Amino acid sequence: MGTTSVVQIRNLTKRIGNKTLVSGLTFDIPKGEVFGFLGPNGAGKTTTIRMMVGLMKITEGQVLIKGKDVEKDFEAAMTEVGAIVENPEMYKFISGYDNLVHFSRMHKNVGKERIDEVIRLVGLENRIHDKVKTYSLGMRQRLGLAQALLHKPSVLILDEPTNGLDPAGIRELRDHLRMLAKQEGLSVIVSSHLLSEMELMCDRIAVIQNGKLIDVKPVREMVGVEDQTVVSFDVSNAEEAVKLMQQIVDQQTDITVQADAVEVALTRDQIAEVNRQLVLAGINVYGIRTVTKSLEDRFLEMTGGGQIV
Amino acid sequence: MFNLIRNENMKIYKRPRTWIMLGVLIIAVALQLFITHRYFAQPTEGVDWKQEMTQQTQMMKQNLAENPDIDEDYRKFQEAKIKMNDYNIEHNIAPFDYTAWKFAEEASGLVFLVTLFTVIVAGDSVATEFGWGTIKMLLVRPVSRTKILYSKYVSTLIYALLLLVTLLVVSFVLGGLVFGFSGVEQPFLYVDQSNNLQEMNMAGKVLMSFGLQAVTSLIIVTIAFMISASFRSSSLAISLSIFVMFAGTFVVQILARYEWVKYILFTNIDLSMYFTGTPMVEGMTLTFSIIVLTVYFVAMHAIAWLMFTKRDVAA
Repeated sequence: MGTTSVVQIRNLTKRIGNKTLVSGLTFDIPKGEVFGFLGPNGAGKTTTIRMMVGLMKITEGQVLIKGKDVEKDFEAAMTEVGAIVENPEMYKFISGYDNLVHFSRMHKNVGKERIDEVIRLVGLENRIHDKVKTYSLGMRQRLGLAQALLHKPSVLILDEPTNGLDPAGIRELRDHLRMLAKQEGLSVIVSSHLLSEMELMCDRIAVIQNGKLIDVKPVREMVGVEDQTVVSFDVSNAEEAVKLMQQIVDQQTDITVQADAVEVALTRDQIAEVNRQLVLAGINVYGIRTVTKSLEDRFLEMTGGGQIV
Repeated sequence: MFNLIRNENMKIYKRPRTWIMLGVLIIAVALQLFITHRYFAQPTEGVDWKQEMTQQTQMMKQNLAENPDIDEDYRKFQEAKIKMNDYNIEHNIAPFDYTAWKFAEEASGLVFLVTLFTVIVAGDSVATEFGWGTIKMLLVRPVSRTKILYSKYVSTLIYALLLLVTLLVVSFVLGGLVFGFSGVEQPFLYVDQSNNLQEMNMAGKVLMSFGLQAVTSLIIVTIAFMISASFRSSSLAISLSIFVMFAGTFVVQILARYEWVKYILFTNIDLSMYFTGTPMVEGMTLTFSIIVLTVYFVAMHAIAWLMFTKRDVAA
C-alpha cells in the first residue's frame, strides 16, 4: 500500500450483460501527479471515470480515494473528489455565482469566502453574476473547474476536458491544471483522445484499449528521448539526396521521400555531415527540420493502428 | 437535507415559468369571478326566485304523493331536496346570493390547475437534470442519491402548497371584495349518501373541498414524479400524468361493471364522494380508499427510489 497514492484502482471491471466494457484495470495515482487516461473512442475511459465517481456501479474490483472505498463509503470518498464528467454542464438559467452557491451547499464547510477565492482562481470575477447561458464554452469550462475545486478536493477528475475548447482555451486549462498540481499538490486525472494535448499536460499516461490497460508510462519515456532524431530535409533534388544519404547512414536506416522532402533518422553529427555533403553535391537545401515522434505515433504503434471499437 | 431543498427551490423559483403559472392561476380565479358575477350572481329579470322555488317544491311534493310506490332512494332524495328549498325560502337565501365563502368553495374546482402546474414542475424535476446533463454534477457530491431524490419531491410539494394557498386566499379575497365577506354563518346544505339533508359549517366546507382535492393532486403529482425519476424523461412524465388526470375517471366508468375496479387508483382518487356524493362502487368506504391510495403511494415511491438510486447514469 503506497501511502502517497491518492487514488488506488484495483482490478476495476465493468460488465453490462455479457459485454465487458472495462476489464481488470489496476493503477495508482500519487499526490500531485497529472495522470492522463488515453484511448480511442469507446475504449472505456468514460466508463472507468464514471465508476470512479459513483455514477456507474462497479461490477468487480474497487476504487479507493485516500483509502476510502467509493462504493462502501461513498460520501467520505466524494468529499475528496472534484469532477467534471464530459462537458461542464451548469444550470444555464441562473448566474455562475448561483451555480457555485448551489454546489457549495452540497458540501460541508464551503463558505462565501471560499466561493470568492475559487472565482478569483479561475479568473471569472467580471462575469460571475451573469447568467451561464451567456457564457462562452471557455468560460463554462472555467466555471466547471471552479465548482470542482470548491471543497478543496485531493483529486480532480476531468473527463475529456478539452472537448470543444479552442487552442487558447486548451492552453489555459493546461496551465491551470499544472499550476494546481504543483502548488496545491492536487492529483489530477484527465481523460482524452487528444493525444498531443496529453503530451503537454500529463506526468504519466495510461493507455487503454478495448477496456484493457495497455501501458502506463511517464510521458518522457513515451515520447522518447533517443540518440537519433528524425530529420526532414527540404531539397531541390530528392533522388540525389537519398543516394548521398545512403552513403553516410547505416544500411538498415529507413529513408523516406515525401514530395521534395527526405526524412531520415540521424544523430546530431550526422545531420551536419549530411547537410555538408548535400551542399557540396550542388543540391539546394531549403530547410532542415526535426520531426518529433509524437505521442500520437507511439499511441498508434501501441494500439496497432488504433481501430475504433 | 435543508440545504438540498434550498437548492431545489432556487432552481424552481429562478425559472420564469414558475411565476407565469402562478399568474395564470390568479387570472383563472379572476375569470371565474367575472363569469360568476356576470351570469350566476344576478337575479333573472321578471322572475321572483321565491315564487319559482315554491312552485318547484310543490311539484315535487305532488309527484311524491301521486306515486306512492316510487323508488325508496329516489323518494328520500326528493324529500331532502324539498327540505333544502324550504330552508332557503325560510332564510331568504336566493340561489344567486354569493358570498366570499360560497365563491371560494366553487373556486376549489380550479385545484385541477394547481395539479396541472405542479405536474409540470414534478415531471421536470428529475428528468431535466438528465436532459441538461447537470445530473452528473449533482450526483458526484458527498450526498446520497436518496436525499437528492427526496429534496426534489419535497420542493415540488412546497410549490403545490404555494399554488393551493394562493388559490384559496386569492379566491376568498377577490370573492369577498365583490360579494362581501359576510355569510360564514350560512350553513352549506347537501344531500348525503343515504339521501338525508345535511348541513355543514361553511368555512369547514371550503377547507374540506380544498383538502380533498389536494389529496387527488398529491397522487397525480406523485405519478408525474415517479415517471420523471424512473424514465428520466420530462415529456413522458408530464404528458402521461396529464392524460391520467383526465382519462382516469373515464376509464373507471368503462370498467365500472367489474368488481375489481375498486382496486384501481382512479376509483379512489376523489375522496369527496364519501362526504357530499356517492361512492363509485357500492360498498366502498373511506377507510378502504385511504388504504388503496396509501398502497399506490408507497409503491410509486418505491419504484421511483429504486429506479433513481440503483441505475447507472450514462447520460
